[in-house]
Amino acid sequence: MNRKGQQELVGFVAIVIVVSIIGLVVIGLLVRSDGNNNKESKDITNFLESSLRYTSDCAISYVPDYSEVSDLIKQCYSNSQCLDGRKACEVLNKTLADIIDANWATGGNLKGFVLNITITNSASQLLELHKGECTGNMVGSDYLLPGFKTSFDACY
Amino acid sequence: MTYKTRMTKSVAANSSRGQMQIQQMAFVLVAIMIFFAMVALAYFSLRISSLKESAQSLNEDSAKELVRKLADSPELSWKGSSCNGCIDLDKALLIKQSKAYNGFWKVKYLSIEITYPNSTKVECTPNNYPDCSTITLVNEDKNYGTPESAFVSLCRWDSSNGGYTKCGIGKIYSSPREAQ
Repeated sequence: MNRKGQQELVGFVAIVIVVSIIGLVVIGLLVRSDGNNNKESKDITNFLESSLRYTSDCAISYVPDYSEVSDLIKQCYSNSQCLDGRKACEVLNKTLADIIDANWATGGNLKGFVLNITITNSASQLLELHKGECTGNMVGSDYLLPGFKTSFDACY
Repeated sequence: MTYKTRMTKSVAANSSRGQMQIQQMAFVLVAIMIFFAMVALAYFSLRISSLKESAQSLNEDSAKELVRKLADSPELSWKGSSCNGCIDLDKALLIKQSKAYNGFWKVKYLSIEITYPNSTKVECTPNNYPDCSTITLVNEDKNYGTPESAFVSLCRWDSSNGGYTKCGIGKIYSSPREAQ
């Protein structure tokens, strides 16, 4: 009778172990599929494309040859100055901040954003702009220019 | 008690214990099946909801892409096809004024909004252009619903400082007509 009881206990423990393992695998799969909360957004790709084409008020060689934001990135990298004495990086920083403020107002659904411009060869950062908190779901996109990668992530 | 009677009682006791054990096993099997069924239900409901979200986001993206295609139409595009998603604001204003384009766009609502640089929030007319914010090309019906929008570049010829191309940022909005 005692031996039979032991056998039943072993069977019960085996069932509990098998069920626990299967449960862990299922939970692992669920967590892995939910953990990827970064989404690509066509809207942000279009925004980046349009922003990089924006004509700034910085002329490097002559007026009215005003630089587009995409040119300003290159001028910032080579540490150039506008004809009016401002640094290309300063103008780039301010222009992008103003563009984002006008198009992505934080406070409502949008909790924050991060904009990064990196140099693709060295993977070093040329410019970073961020506002608000970026802890929840992120929607973003990258836009490649020759030698540079621009990425924008909006956080909800 | 005879030998036969004792045997009959013993067999009956064993048979009852066996039935009990079969019942226990059946209960455990049923419980395991119910457990797995619940786990599977939870898993598939989560998967289906995430699939629905993906489908919705893909639909939104394709709708935005269709709206953006309007910006690349010859009537609105800036200098042909060299600049994707670039609208010629001067052309858009002229088209707005031209009666020849009445009914040309097969949509309920079509407008262009200048979002940056910031300008006065008024409808564009030849008198206030370019210090205005919106060019409404089509507004057939007040109930056009929530129009789809897409970011575009808004370019125009600025005649100051000897003249140059100035591109800003804006959005194109469109609401399709219902299928008839």
